[in-house]
Amino acid sequence: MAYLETHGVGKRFTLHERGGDQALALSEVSLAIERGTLVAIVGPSGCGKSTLLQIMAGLISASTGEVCLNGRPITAPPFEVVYVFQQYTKSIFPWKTVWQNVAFGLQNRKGLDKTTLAVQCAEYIRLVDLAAFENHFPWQLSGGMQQRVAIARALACQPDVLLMDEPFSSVDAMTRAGLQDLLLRLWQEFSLTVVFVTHDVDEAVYLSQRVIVMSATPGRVVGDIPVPLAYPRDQLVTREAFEYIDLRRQLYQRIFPSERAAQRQVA
Amino acid sequence: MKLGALLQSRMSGFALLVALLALWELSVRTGLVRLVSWPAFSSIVRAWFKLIAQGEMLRHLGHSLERLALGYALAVAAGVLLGLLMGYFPAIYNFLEPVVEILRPIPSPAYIPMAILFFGIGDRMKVFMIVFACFFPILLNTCSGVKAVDPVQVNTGRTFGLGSWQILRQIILPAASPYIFTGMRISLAVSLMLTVIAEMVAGNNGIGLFILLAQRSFRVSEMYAGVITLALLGYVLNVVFVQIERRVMRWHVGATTMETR
Ligand SMILES: Nc1ncnc2c1ncn2[C@@H]1O[C@H](COP(=O)(O)OP(=O)(O)OP(=O)(O)O)[C@@H](O)[C@H]1O
Ligand SMILES: [Mg+2]
Repeated sequence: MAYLETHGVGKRFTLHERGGDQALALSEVSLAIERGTLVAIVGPSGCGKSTLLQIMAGLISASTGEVCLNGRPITAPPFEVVYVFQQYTKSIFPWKTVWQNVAFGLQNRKGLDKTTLAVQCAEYIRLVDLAAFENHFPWQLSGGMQQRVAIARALACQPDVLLMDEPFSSVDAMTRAGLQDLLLRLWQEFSLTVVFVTHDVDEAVYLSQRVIVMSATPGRVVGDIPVPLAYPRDQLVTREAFEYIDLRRQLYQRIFPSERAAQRQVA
Repeated sequence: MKLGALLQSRMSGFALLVALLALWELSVRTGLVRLVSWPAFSSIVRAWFKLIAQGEMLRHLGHSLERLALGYALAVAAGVLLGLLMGYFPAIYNFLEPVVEILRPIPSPAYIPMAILFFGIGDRMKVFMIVFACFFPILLNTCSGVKAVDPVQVNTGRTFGLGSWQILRQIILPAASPYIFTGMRISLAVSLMLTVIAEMVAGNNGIGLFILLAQRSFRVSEMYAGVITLALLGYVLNVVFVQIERRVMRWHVGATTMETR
C-alpha cells in the first residue's frame, strides 16, 4: 500500500446554488504515490489538477472515491500535508510582513521555541532570496517575490507531504532554476513526498521521478511516465542528457497528440 | 496665495468656517438679526470659556464621556464577537438573523420608554441605549466582512493545521477588520447622538442635560456653548478614531492605494 493513494476520485461541481447544471471536473482518478517520491502532474488548463490536489490536501471533498494517507481516509486537512495555492497572491496575508507570513506556518505547526522559530524563519527567507525584504508587506513586493514568500512559508514547515500547485509560475527563469534546485535539495534532505503541478513539461521532467499526464473534460489520468534520470540533477548536465530530451519528446507527444499530428500534416 | 491654490489646499475649508463664524458675528453686531435666540458668536465663546473655567462644562462633559465610552466599548465587544460568529458559522447566522432584522430597524429613541421601565432613569438606562444603538452597525459590518473573506485565506489556515477558532482569530478577524472599522466609525457617531438624547430625556447630568436646562432658563449663550462643546467632542473623537484606525490598518492603507494606482 502506498503512502498517498487516491481511489477512483471524482469531483462534480454544482454550477448553480439550486442544483441543476453540474460540471464533472474529475473522473475516476486512481493514483498511488510512494512515500518520499517526487511526482509531477501535467495537463491542459482546466483539466482538474488544482481540484485533484485540493482533494488530496483534504481542503475539498471528493464526490466519489476517497483519498488515503498512510492507509487512513482523509476527511480533513491532515497535519502531515501542506498545500501551496496556485493563487499565491490571495494565499499570503496582506496584514503580515514577509517575516510574519513565513512564520505563520511554523507557529501553527509545532511547539517551536521562539529562537528556533526565528532561526528557521530567517533561514528559509534567505533561501528564497528575500532576506532584504523581511519587514516588507506583500503589496510592497513583486508577483514573483510574493510567490517566493508562499514557497518559503510551506517549505519552512518541512511537512511530510508537500502539494505544490504551479508554485513557480510567476518567477523569472533564473529564479525558477534556483527554486527548482532548492526544492530538490530539501526533498532529499528531509525525504519529503512532493506532488507538483506544472504547465511546464521541462520542469516536470527535470524535477520528478514520475510524471502523471491528465486530460480534460472530464479530468482523468491518461499517462503515468517514469523518469529514470539520476539525482542529483543539474540544470546543465541533466537537461542535455539524451534520456532527458527523449522523455521530454515522449511527454509532448502524449500531451499534445492531436496538435503534433496536425503539424505533421502541414509539414 | 492665489484663489485656485487656496481652493486646492486644506486651508480653503478652514477659511469657509472662519467666514461663516464672522458672518454670524456681523449679523448680530450690525443689528441685522435681533433675536434673543441668536446671540453674537463672541458672547457664546465668552460663555464657553467661563463655563470651562468654572468647571461646570468639564463636569458635564466628564459624565457624558464616561457613559459614552462604556456603552461604545460594550457595543464594540458584543458586535464584533457576535458578528464574527454570525459571519463564520451559518447555523448561528440562520438562528439570529430574523431577530436581528426585526430589532435593527427600530429607531433608537422609540425604545427609551421601555428602557426607562426596565432600568430606571439612571446611568444603566443610558448605557443600555448607547449599547443597543451602536451594536447593530458593528454587528452587520463585521458579519459582511467575515462573509467577504476570500476562501483561499481560510483554506490556507486549514492546510497549515489551524482549527476553527484559530482561523477565526488569526485570519478572519484581521481580514474582516476594514469592515469592522467601518461599522465602528458609524457607531461612534451614533454613540454621541444617543448619549445626548438619553441625557435630555432623563438625566441629572451630562452635556445633553446641560443644553436642555440652559434653553429652559433662557441662558441662550450657554446653550450654544454646550452645542459647541459637542461639536468639538465629535470632532476630537473622530480624529482619535482615524489615528487609531490608521495605525492598526497600516497594511490596508498601503494595500488599497497600491491596487488603485
Ligand atoms: N468551485 C468551482 N465551482 C465550479 N466549477 C469549478 C470550481 N472549481 C473548479 N471548477 C471547474 O473544474 C475544472 C477544473 O478546475 P481546476 O482549477 O482543477 O483546473 P486546473 O487543471 O487546475 O487548471 P489550471 O491549469 O488553469 O490551473 C474547471 O473546468 C473549472 O471550471
Ligand atoms: Mg490549477
